[in-house]
Parts: sequence; structure tokens; C-alpha cells
Amino acid sequence: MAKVLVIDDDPSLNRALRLGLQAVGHDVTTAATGEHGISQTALTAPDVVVLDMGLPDMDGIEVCRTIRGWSDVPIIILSASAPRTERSPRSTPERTTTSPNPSACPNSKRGSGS
Amino acid sequence: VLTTFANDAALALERAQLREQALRSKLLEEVDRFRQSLMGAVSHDLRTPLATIKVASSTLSNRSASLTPDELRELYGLIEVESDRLTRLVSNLLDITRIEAGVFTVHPTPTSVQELVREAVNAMEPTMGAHRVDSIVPASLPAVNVDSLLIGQVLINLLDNAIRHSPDDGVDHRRGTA
Repeated sequence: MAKVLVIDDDPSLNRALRLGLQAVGHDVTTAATGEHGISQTALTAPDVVVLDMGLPDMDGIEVCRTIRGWSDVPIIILSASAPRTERSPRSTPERTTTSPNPSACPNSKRGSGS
Repeated sequence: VLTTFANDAALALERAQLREQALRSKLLEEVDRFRQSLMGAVSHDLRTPLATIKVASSTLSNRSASLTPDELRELYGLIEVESDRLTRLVSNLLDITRIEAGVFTVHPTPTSVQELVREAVNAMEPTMGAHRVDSIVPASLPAVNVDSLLIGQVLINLLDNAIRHSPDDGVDHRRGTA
């Protein structure tokens, strides 16, 4: 099963995602801020990151770009206000969308040397 | 002379009308921007509890999900708490609509502050989890002339916000002074 990092500042949603993902066998860690999420991504090397766009300390896109600077980990974007993005056909919550959006959050590592 | 004067007056009038139109247009643009921003915020606030309810209910209905009795209780609790939060948000939106329509009425009556705080804290009890609320309201505080339902809703909104954005073992203080 996968190591999942959930970056979301809403405590209820964080808790529900943790319980839901753990119940099907995933190993879940959570972070409530962008900064903590970035450091957790580096420290825990998750198989997938679930990222909220509306974080209290920084924009979700900024978090995504920072992670993309040194990691190709798949990132699933949770957004309550992103009607422009496509919904994943397998998404659970109504506001779950898949990422990366190529224009906003690059899908590959930045530069060969990074 | 009269023709020149009339022409100047017409030009001045036209300029004034154009200026007024430009101002009105700018105002409408600002109102539109404000509405869009408000809709974005409302959409976010409504979708967040819905997302929690969806995740919790999907997990509960997933036959392959392995959950302890405590985890089951917690998921049911999350659905209840987030449904209440959603109900409060919708009530607030309905109040905004009533205010805009001019049919919103306030009924101020002398109300005990202690009672107001107690009722708000009681209403939020199921959502508190590990949080503790210390109410510090002096008994000598006089009654206040307010609409108890509306002020109660304000206190509930403040508590909801404090609970959601403080650490699990955080303490919220309600202090009243005369």
C-alpha cells in the first residue's frame, strides 16, 4: 500500500481523509500548512501527495511548484474553488481534482541538475 | 452669443453625464468583483464540509474498509458535526438574502450575557473534541439589549472559527466585562 501525505488545513477533512485512507491500508501522514507539507514531503518521501489549494501560509500552487523543484511525486489537488480543472473519475470528495495542471504546476523535475 | 452659450452648456452637460456614466460603470465593476469574491468564499466554505461528509460516508460504506469501533464513531461524528456546520452556513446565507431584501428584522430584548455564552458553548459542545472553553463572565455584568438569536449565532461563528483554527488541546477564552 502507498505512503500518502495529506496537506490540508481543515481539521475535519484532514481527519476524514486520514481515517478513510488508513482504512484501506494506506500509510497516512498529514500537514496543516504549506511549509510543513513541503518539509514532510522531503522527510517522508510519500508515494502520493494530496494537496489543498487554500492553505493558510502559502498558495497551494506555490507548494506544488516547490515540491516539483526536486520531486516527481504524484500530487492530487484538492480544491474547493477550481471549476476549471477536470474532476478525477475515481475521486471521492466532490472537490477532489487531479493534478498536476501542467501550466500551473510542472509535472517534471526542474532542470537536470536539480 | 446665446448659441455659443447653449453649445458650451450642452458640452458641459454631456461631459458631466459621461463622467457620471464612467463612475457608475466603475462602481458596478467593483460590486461585480466583490460578488465574485464573495461567491468564491461561500463556495469554498460550503464545499469543505461537504467534502468531509463525502469522504466520511464513502469510507463508512466501503465494505473493504477496516475500521475500529472508535474510528467508526469518529466518522459518524464528523458527518454530524460537518452537517451542523453546513446548516449554520446556509442559515447565514439565508440571513444575508433577507438583509438584502430588506425583510430582516432585529428583535432586541434585555438578555443575560452569561446565558448567551452558555447557550453558544452548549451548541458547539459536539464539535469541541479535545478543546476546552473557559467562560469568564462576571455575575455583575448587566443584561444587554440584543437580539439573542442573532448574537448567539455570532458567538457560535466565533467559537467555530476558534475551535477549527487552534491546536487540539487549545483553550478558547470568552471574557465579558462591564
